[in-house]
Amino acid sequence: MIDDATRAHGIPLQLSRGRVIASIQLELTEPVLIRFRQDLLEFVRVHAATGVVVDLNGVEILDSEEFVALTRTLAMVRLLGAETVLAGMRPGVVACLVELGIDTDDTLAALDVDAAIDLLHDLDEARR
Amino acid sequence: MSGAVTRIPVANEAQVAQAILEARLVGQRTGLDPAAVARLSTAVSELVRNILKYAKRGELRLGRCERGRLYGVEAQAFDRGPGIADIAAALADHYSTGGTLGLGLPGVKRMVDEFEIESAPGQGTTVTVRMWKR
Repeated sequence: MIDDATRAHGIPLQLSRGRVIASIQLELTEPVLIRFRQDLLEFVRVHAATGVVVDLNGVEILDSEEFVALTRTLAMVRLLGAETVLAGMRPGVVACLVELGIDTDDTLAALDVDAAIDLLHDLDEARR
Repeated sequence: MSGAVTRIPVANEAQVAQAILEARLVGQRTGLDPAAVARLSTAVSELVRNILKYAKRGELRLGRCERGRLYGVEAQAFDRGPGIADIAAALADHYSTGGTLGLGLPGVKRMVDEFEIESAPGQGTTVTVRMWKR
């Protein structure tokens, strides 16, 4: 299920069994990030989603400001009550983020979307 | 820099995006491997965002560079902004004057093969980075 509102200019959001999958396939400019923040928060609330996976496999360059803007959005999602996982970051991207000295301690990550869904499942189990 | 130099003005977010795109294209055309292209582009991204944040406007210059048998890409981020009073401090980790992220210069330095900086208060800043083809 793809939300039509996000299809035009934004990042497509898919809902599957209470999980939102956001697949980022475009440059994360400031307007894109602002739009994504609004769309994602609203989508999570409306669908009462329990988890969010942000797929970054299509992103080749992610600088420190973009990464921080993204992780702030995920912190907001967690305040709504949903867990968040970054999936599929490329080796070049993670190497640069670590070289830049960015704090990634609060960020859950997985190799790909499937692994991220599994991780969300494990988090649910651990909470029970 | 040798040969054609691409100059991209940097004064707004769209030009930042353009600068990053050009860096990636020049890196690819020069034959840098994908990881090196990512490092170059991310370094350029940090540098041109610094221009926007601290100097408001400036320029990115991109071109090929050669040294003996080596060749690669040189990127120069140039501005006539406030400049940096204490370069050594700006190159130390956890230094910042605007926001919590700092200039990101130590990170940029680690990311590229060569890094040079010229700056003085009131004189602007020029950061030159090079990536060599392996």
